Amino acid sequence: ALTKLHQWLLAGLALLTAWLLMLSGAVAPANPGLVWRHAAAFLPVYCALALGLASLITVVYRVLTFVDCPQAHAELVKEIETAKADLAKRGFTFTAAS
Amino acid sequence: YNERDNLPLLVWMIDKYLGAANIQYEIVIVDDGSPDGTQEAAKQLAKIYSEDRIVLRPRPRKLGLGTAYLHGLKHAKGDHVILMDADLSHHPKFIPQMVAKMRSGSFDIVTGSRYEGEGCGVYGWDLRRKVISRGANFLAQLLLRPGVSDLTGSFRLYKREVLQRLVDSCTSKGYVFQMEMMVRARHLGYSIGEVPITFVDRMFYGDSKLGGSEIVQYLKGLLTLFATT
Repeated sequence: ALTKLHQWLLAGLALLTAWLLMLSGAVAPANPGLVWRHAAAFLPVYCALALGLASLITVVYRVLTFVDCPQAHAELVKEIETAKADLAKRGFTFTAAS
Repeated sequence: YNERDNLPLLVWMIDKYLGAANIQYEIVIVDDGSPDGTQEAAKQLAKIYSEDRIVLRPRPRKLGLGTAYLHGLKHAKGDHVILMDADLSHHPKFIPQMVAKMRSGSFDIVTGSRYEGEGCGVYGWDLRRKVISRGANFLAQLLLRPGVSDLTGSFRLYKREVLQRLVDSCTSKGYVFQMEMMVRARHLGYSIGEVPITFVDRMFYGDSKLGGSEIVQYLKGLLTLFATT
């Protein structure tokens, strides 16, 4: 099977080919105006910017919606107390610090 | 390593939740020569819970996580293995859920996910930690497309022979080791299920655990996996 790197190189090659076709005029609308020529020339840059922006928004969104679980901590603290008492009853000796 | 205080609590909780779910268990404790009396605590626990259930197999000094897994596996008698942290950040109450998930979906591996699923979450992570975690995970998802939401987590249930095969073939260290296990598992065609878990970080290591060099190591490991799998 192809490694991820190889997959990306292949995809990159395909995109590069498509872009070169656009630049050479082989793939173009009937009347390529200035806008088209500019967009075609800078397409990789725009794509990179768009991807960068999408990635940033995704990560920011995921950080903001990261689930905090304070109740899990509270429950754990209580459970630890129960555990310590029960273990002491069964003959376990803790160190002085705990 | 140095879990003298947490180990008895962990064992108590494992016994409570697995006992309630009628799951037969054995706890293999791999201690790398902790100076704080961890082994002493383990021996006391073996007396309380029976030496069949608490198996202490120490090593002379810190020898790394991967070899610790191998060492523990050598002495484990069960046909399923749970790997988890000993500092109580992984709660044993999720183990019955993992077992149920493995049975219902016939999975080879069930991994806890801190990121996805009803009931997942973390406690004790500041903004910096969250940003690094999400950023690192995003990058790993983008590059490796692993099909697992929590790649760097280390709370997992494996079928014994699956774990043996994975540990034998993985070579990275630290966070990357956990990622490599999942990536290789997918490559070998194993099925992976997920169970949402809560991760309670009581240690508050803060900056020291996720400093610049850890990040560099992570990126190097990620790129290596990207180029070789």
